Amino acid sequence: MQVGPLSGVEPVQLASAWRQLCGPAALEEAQLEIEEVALEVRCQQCQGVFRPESFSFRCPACDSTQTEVVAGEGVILDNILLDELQQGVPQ
Amino acid sequence: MTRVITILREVSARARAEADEFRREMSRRRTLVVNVLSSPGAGKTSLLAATAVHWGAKRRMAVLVGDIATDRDAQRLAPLAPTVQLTTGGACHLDLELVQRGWEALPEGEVDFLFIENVGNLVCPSSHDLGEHLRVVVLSTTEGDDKPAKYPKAFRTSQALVISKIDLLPHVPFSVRAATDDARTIQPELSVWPLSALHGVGIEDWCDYLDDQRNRIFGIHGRQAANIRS
Repeated sequence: MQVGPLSGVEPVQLASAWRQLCGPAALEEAQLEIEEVALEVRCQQCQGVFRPESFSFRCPACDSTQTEVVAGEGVILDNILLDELQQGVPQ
Repeated sequence: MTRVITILREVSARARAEADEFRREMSRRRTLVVNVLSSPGAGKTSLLAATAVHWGAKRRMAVLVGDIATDRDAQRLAPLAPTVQLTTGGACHLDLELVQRGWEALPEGEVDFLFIENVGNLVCPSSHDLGEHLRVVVLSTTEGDDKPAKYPKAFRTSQALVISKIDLLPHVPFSVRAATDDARTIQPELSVWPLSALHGVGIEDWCDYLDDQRNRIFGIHGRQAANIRS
């Protein structure tokens, strides 16, 4: 999973929630891999991409306020890796 | 053998799609949905009460009011506008399903503005799209002007900032300029409305802003818009 600084999700707490979920579900071997992605913002004036410091969204290059977040806003489920058993689904 | 299933989707994609659908439905009805966020005690209920008093019968407004417990806010607002209390039973924010249930529990009839008074909390509500057209964050002068930088997401995801309780400015160390500058560093497009709901100061400008947003979002122009402003 990718977790960004503006997602409202704290990776340490997400990992803790995962462990609490997996125990009762008998999925102790399931692993969660969290990639912490940086906040990236594109300036719509100069098209430059920057990483805001202290959540300052003003473009550091041209001082424009017309900016959009391009990464780090959400939680993205990247992919699921399944180890398949030769004998099929265990009983 | 390891099988890789590529997903590459936002976990909240479904919730967002449902919120978009609710937003479209409310747009069809020309009901502007306003999600009001703040910490507990910043003055959300007082703001909505002053808004209802200012408009009187000129606008049809309704309120869904979220709290962890009690229906005290609904009791305050019910004499002024149709109100439904949403009690979360401990949850720190409202979600779309609660809002939809509240909307269905309101008396039938046309509504120009549906206000959602979120649970008092500057953190969690900012991560939940309730199908609103407009998100407003209320910051009171007693909370301190450093709050935008400390709770960036609430300010980043809002279109308007109400600075409430400005009647207390002579008594508290709060700079409207500092709070505004800080908030606009995070969200440069933020409209800022300093007001005192208690004394009615700034309420007319705030209400005009809401009218303008409704006209802009629903494409109401010319004489029709002028009638709405009158």
